[in-house]
Amino acid sequence: MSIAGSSRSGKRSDGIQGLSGWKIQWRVVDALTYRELRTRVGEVRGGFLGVLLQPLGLLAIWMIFLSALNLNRGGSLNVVLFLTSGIVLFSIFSHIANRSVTAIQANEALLFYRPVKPIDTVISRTICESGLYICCMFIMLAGTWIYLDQVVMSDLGLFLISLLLAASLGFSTGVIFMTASHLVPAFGQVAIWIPRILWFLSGVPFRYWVFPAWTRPFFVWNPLMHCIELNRKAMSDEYFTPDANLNYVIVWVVVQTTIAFWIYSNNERRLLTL
Amino acid sequence: MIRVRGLTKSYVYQGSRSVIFKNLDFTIATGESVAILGANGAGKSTLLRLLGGIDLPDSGTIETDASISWPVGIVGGFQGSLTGRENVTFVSRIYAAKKDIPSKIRYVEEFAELGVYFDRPFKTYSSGMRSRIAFGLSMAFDFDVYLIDEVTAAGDQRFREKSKRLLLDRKQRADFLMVDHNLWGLKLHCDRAFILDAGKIEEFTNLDEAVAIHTERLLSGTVSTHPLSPDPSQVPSEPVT
Repeated sequence: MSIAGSSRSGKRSDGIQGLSGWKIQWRVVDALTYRELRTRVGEVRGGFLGVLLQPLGLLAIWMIFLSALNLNRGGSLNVVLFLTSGIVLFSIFSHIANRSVTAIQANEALLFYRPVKPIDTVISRTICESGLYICCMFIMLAGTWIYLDQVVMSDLGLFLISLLLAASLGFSTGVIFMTASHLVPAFGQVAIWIPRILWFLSGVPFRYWVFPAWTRPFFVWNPLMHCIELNRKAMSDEYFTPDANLNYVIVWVVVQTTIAFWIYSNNERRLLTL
Repeated sequence: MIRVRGLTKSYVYQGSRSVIFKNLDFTIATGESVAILGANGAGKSTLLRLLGGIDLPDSGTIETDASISWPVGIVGGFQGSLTGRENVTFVSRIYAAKKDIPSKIRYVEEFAELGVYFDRPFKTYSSGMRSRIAFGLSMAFDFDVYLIDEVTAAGDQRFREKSKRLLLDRKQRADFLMVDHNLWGLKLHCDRAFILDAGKIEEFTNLDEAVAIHTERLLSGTVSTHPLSPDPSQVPSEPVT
């Protein structure tokens, strides 16, 4: 056994002393992402493939269910892509938000290490959930492309931005959920219902504008609905969506993320000492 | 060098605040190893947690130019669902350069001698196995100052001997802040001592003298075994600077 030794006056190769804040942040998020993936992989049979099959299975079940209800009106967009877009983007948002409620509790032992801060647990969960569901999305896109021999992308930039915005919405919501539910545990019980309500207001299985006009305000305020519709539009230029507005989502994400950071930074000390 | 100024720590339990210590001031120079003596509940482990950055003080500052370990010996910092190897990998990804991660894992694996258990969930380990991996993990990293909490009391005879040898070796290039009820172990590794009693700290340059006074107080029952009485009005609430 040996360890890289050095004299008292010499430079240490270990530890975080002398590293920049970004470098420390990178190492912590890298380590927590590793921990998240190991736990996810360890929970299911079949390793990483098993982890990937979970959301794919979920997608399949939703598609059978929604097809049976004849709610799969995708218009000019292929119905598989229409549902994949809604389910994947909503899952990215809701999984990040829901898993953030328990992020501190689940990583309590690892907050033992000084560089690890509560917000890092949400960042790593955002990376894991987004990565997982984006992999699923590309599998579905590839499958559709091979099976239907149909071009499934008209605006790759918009497609990627809509995914990024859905993850950012999940992240900022997750930071607020984590902070609030740790300071007021009862909030954790309420928080898990919020994504469930949003599911109906995001146009996941249907095009919201086919409903009566008076219902429109319930959908149009919701930035996640805009993300999903923009994602669908990115896959088919002919897809009709009357209200989707990229600028609206960007402004919402910036404002919500700023609020989330403000709430977190004002309470980080309490999260670490409660 | 570690410089502590005005360090105050209290805990709130069921609406009642208990002050552990108040306005501690001390400086530890580079090259000094210090024993922290005190009765159970005097706040020795709390002080190590603050110095290690695991907990935050109510007020006061801790300034240092040294890299300080987490408290060695406390079996915290391990995720029960992860294996020993995965836990070690997690910590190595934070505290070591990428190229050094495999050597850190190998070091802990060889030191802990857990065999196949190294790849089993941490929650299945016995307390002795946990101590071995916790101590091995701490020693795998090259810190300037090690915070050592009751490590000589953990594990079996063979592990204690192995730990003792490793600490003596590490003492050649690092300093220790030690909490241990094994006073003989403190004498072996430390140069001077602090006695933490009734929320205050007394500094001794002579370790033997400190041990004698501490022992006498313990035996005569004149030592405080509980945190300071609740005194919320005296606890500053401003954040650490």
